[in-house]
Amino acid sequence: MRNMTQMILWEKTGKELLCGETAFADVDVVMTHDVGTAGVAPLVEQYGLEHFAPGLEMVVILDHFVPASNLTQANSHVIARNFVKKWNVEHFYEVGRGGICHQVMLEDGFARSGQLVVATDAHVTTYGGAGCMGLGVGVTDAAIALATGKIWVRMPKTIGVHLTGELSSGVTAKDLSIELLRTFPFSQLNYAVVEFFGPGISTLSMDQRFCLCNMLSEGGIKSCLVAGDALTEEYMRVHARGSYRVIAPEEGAKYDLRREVDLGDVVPMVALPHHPTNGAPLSEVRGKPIQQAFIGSCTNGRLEDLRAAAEILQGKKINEHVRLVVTPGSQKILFQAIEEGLISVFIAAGAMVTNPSCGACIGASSLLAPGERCISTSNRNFRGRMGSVDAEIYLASPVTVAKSALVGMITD
Amino acid sequence: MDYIKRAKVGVMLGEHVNTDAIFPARYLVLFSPEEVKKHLFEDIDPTLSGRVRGMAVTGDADFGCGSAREQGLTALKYGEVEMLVCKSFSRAFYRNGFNNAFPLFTADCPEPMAEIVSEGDELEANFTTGELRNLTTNRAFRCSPTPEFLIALLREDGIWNMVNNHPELLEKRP
Repeated sequence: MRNMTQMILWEKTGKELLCGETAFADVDVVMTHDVGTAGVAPLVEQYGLEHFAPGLEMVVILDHFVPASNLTQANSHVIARNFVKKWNVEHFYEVGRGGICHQVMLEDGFARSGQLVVATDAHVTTYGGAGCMGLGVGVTDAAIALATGKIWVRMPKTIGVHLTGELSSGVTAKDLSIELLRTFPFSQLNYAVVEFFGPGISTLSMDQRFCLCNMLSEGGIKSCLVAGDALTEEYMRVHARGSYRVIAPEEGAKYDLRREVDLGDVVPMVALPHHPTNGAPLSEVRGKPIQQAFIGSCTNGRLEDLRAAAEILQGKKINEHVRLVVTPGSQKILFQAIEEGLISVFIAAGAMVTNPSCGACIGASSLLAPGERCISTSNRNFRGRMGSVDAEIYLASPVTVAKSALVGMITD
Repeated sequence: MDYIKRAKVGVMLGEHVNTDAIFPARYLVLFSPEEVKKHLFEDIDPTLSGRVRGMAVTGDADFGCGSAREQGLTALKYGEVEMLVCKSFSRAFYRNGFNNAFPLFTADCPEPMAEIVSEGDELEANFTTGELRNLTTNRAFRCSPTPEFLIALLREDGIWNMVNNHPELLEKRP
């Protein structure tokens, strides 16, 4: 009776590891973004590699500093392009051809059910929405994986979250994840894999599952997995570029900790400055004036998020004291949003629509000045992340952010 | 032989010290040791990096949370911090530490950090047994031993040396 973590890690290590035991696991895919590639490139030279490990897929996606806005960033893109050329990296996403790395990995089928992906970015946990174990690593681990095809893993403790019910109207997976981050102590989430299963899963779209697994990264988890179902199978059938195996926990699978969550109990939530675990019900936070609102990022830059925001903004004007920045998660999403008329809605409402990239989330553009407050659909509200260390970031769903942009204050 | 590190505490930081606070995201594209160490703790206090060279840094729970960026760790290493002693570490930060042979001691004893140590005290961390000793106050604290594999990474000077010195670890599974 294996849980999903055991299914993946036992297969990839060839050992029935017990919690705390260490072994090397086979890696299916390595992904590095512009920042990660700039760090991995000198390491593989230093290691004196002649080729990458056979059977390993490598994907390079420029997304963090896109477009480059200074020479250091432009040079880091050059390092990435040279790396791709030198090592014959088959899958490379140039500026304007991909988007935010995690979204590209999913929609272009590199993150596949039952597989193990290593990436130089903590939000690789997003792939768990499709039952793919994503492990966020530094550049050394990524370089070691390229050299050996493997990564050392310590068998984690597992947390099983049994979902029942259905989210209420206007409540999203973002609210669910802020609530989970608020209530789970860090000591429980740290180094654990969180698995979601139960009848509530089928009520969550794939976009909602990706958001959930993305946001939970902020709890310090090793990874996150959602039990596969017919929707997962369909997503894989359309997107997977290679083999996959839709997985779900076996009947009677054991967890170190188990929790029941009725999705119907979840209310709109906001994470207060300066940590994503500082969650509070939206009803307790409303009324705070904002100067910027941001809809985008690997958490909430997907089509469903843009549709939810456009529905609220349709035919209305953003508050005169607020600037709304909308950043679609990928070129494909941007294209689809144009087709559906969503981008016209944003522009007519007075929003600024940007190219797909990490953008405002990492303070690469649309910076906050001292004393400003932003409500954002992204995943981190650390002090200084989006600009000044004297600015405040509140995290919320696209629904809450769009509503707040209209009235100029955090609102429900 | 036990793996032991000893250092005076240069600064005591709190909980959830995130990678943006250790090494701001705006410098993410910098990787050279000379560049990286310049920005250590810049957003907490630009003078702090000068005060922790050759010293230990302590923190509470979840040190290194946020990004998987390796500069969060290498900024400390290149800045010549001797070791970190914290209640707990964020996962990717912890991996980056041992992969780079930088000693991270988990002080998971029941006593809070404020009771264990004050700034300026000298700490001796025994990674093998898990004993943390404050040599200034002459008090000892019982923490979890660091797993053998991780101590081996410290002794072998990081993951690259380990996989080269022990190819048997990478042998194809049965």
